[in-house]
Parts: sequence; structure tokens; C-alpha cells
Amino acid sequence: MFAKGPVVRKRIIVSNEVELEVRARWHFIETTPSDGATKVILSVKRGRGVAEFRAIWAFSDAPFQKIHLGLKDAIEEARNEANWAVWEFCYFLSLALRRKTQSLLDELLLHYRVYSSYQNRQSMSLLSGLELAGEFAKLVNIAYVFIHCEIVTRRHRDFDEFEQYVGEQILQFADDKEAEVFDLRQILQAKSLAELVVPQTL
Amino acid sequence: MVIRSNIAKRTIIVSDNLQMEVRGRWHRIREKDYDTGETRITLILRHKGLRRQITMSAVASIDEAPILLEKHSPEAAKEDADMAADAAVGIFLLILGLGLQHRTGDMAKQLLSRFDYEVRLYRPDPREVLSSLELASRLGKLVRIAYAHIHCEIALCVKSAKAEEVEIVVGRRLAEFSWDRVEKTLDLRPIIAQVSKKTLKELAMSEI
Repeated sequence: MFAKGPVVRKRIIVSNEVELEVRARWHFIETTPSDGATKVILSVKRGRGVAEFRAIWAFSDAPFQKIHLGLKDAIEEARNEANWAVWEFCYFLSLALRRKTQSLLDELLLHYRVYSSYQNRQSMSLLSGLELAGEFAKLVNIAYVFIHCEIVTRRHRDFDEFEQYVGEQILQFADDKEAEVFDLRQILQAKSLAELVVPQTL
Repeated sequence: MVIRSNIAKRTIIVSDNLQMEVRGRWHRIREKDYDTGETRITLILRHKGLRRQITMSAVASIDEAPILLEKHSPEAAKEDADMAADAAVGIFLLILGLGLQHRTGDMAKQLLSRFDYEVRLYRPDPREVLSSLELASRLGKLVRIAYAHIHCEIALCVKSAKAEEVEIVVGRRLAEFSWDRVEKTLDLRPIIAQVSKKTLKELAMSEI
């Protein structure tokens, strides 16, 4: 029996003062029947202060079900759950930065089964799904606001294009399992977007 | 200057042990450049008299009308703030009633339209969309808690075969109560008792 899976984390350095860390972990929930949940925590570090915000990404008993195959398999499954949660957080953040608001909303509500409850006329399930979606949206909103403010302050003329570019880069960062840190400062130091987009050899 | 409205209050007596109170109040929010306002809903659950009380609150709407009216008529502004508080309580009861009637689509629309969700969806500002979803989810949490308590109380009082029908009748009564500006208390006990005595056939006939 194991109560918690490994922690998966990714860091986004927004500026010299602000740093965001998103981490996820699968937890065992003692209910009947037994269940599990993957929680996402967003830590905002500003100077010496740290603020933490939490949300549930998904309910899954897969790691618990795999325990009969061995503890190693169960832990690996829990790691996959946590990886998925961190990837999805970065993906939603990227959607927000790329201003894909329709996809952002639809995918969030689809994941928390708000639309399926809507079709099946299950009011209770819709309200629960909406509550979880709102909590997760809060985390994405906080991360988005910090990144947006930094881009607007540093690139007040072409912040829209830079935001799009940062959104694409965050998606690549999410796909890269080895990468643990994303440094926004390096992108914002560029003289123009062309410097980043056009290969230097041209 | 209108700082806050009077408290709008409605009570639902679910059973001998459980009582719900829905309160609404408009508040002015002071900002650096300009003031804005919001109406907050508070749900108070009283279990066995006053001994166990749970209080939760959420924003029901963002409303600047009383501030805009203030320049022309302070009395009208105060009245408008009271009306906003009363309307928020009514909307909460309506959403709860729709949920109990299993009109899930209407319930979701009412909940999300509170925060201009659909209007904001067409504007490419993710911050506005995410904030409105967050506010809708907080109000939804309050509705879910009230819904769960009424649902459990009906399930305990009525035979399982008739529970859904009783829920629909209670939901309809709650929706009617939400529009009623005179009645301040709704007693569900006689409604549940009366409906649970009827047979399924009688209930189906009364629908027609």
C-alpha cells in the first residue's frame, strides 16, 4: 500500500523577483471503494514570500489498481498521473497566452465532465464539475496574470506577439519531459520577435 | 454615498431539523481610480435549531448601477442596491429550483450568464473568461451544498421510487418562491408530506 506518488514539478522563472512552480502528486483517498486524486499546487515565489494555490486535476484509482503488479508499477502509474496534470496545466496556460479562449473553456469543461452532465441532466454532477473546473481555472488565471504583466511591462509595444510566442514555447516546454525550468527572462531580453523566430544563420 | 444595501433574506424550512437561510447584500468596493460594486450571497445552514451553523458566501453578480445612479438620486441608488440584493437571492433560489427539477441546461445557463460568461467568450481575453468561470464555480458550490441537503432530506423522508418526483415538485415550488417578492419563508415540510402521500399515477396525472 502506498499513500502518495512521486512529485512532478516544473518551474517558470518570470522575472528576477517572481518565480512560479507547478507541482503535482497523486494521493490515495480512503473511501469505499478506494480512490485516488491528482492534486496540482501552484507556488508563487516573490522575494522571500511564497503563496500556494491548490486544485484537483483528476480522480483516478489506476495506481491503486496496479498495486497487484508490484509497487514499482503502481509508483510509475502515479508518476504518469502527476506528469499528465503538470502537462495539462502548462497546456492550459499556453492556451491562455495564445488567446485561444474558446478551446481553453471547452477543454476545461469537457475534462471536468460539465458538458456530459449537461447532456445527461445530472445537476449535482454538473455543479461538482463546475466547482473543480473553477478551482483549476483560478490556478491558470494566477499564472497567466503574472506572465502577462511581466510581458506587458517589458514589451509594451509588441506584447501581443510576445505573448503568443511565449505560449508556444511553454507548450514545447510541457512536451519536453527532461526540461524542468523555463526562463522567461531570456525571451524578453531579445530586441525583437524576429531575433527569436528567424534562425540566426539566415 | 451607498456603502452597502440592506440584507435581503429568504428562509427555507426543509425539515424539523434543517433550515436554510439565503442572504444577499450589495457592497461597494473602493478602488484607486473608480468604485465598483458586487452582490454577495450568503448561505446559512442551521441544523437542529441554532446549535450547528455553517456559513458560506460567494459573489452573485458584479453590479455598478447603484454607483452610477448615485450622482442623480441618492435615494434611487439606495433602492437599486436593495433591489440588486433581492434579485441575487431570487436568482439563487431559481438556480436551486432548476437544479432540483433536473433542468440542468437551464441551471447551467443561469449560473454562467451571471458573470457575462457567453459575452466574454467572444472577447479574446483569457483573464476575463477564467475569472468569470471561477466566480460561477464559487456560486455553484453554494447551490450544490443547498441542493445536496434538500436531496438528502427528500431521500430520507420519501420512498426511493418517488424521490425524483418529489424533488421536481419541490424544485417547481422553489422556482415560484424565487419570483415571489412578498413571501419570505418557504416551508417544504407540508409540500414533501403531501406529495409523498400521492401515488405515482396521481403524480403523473397532476403533471398533465
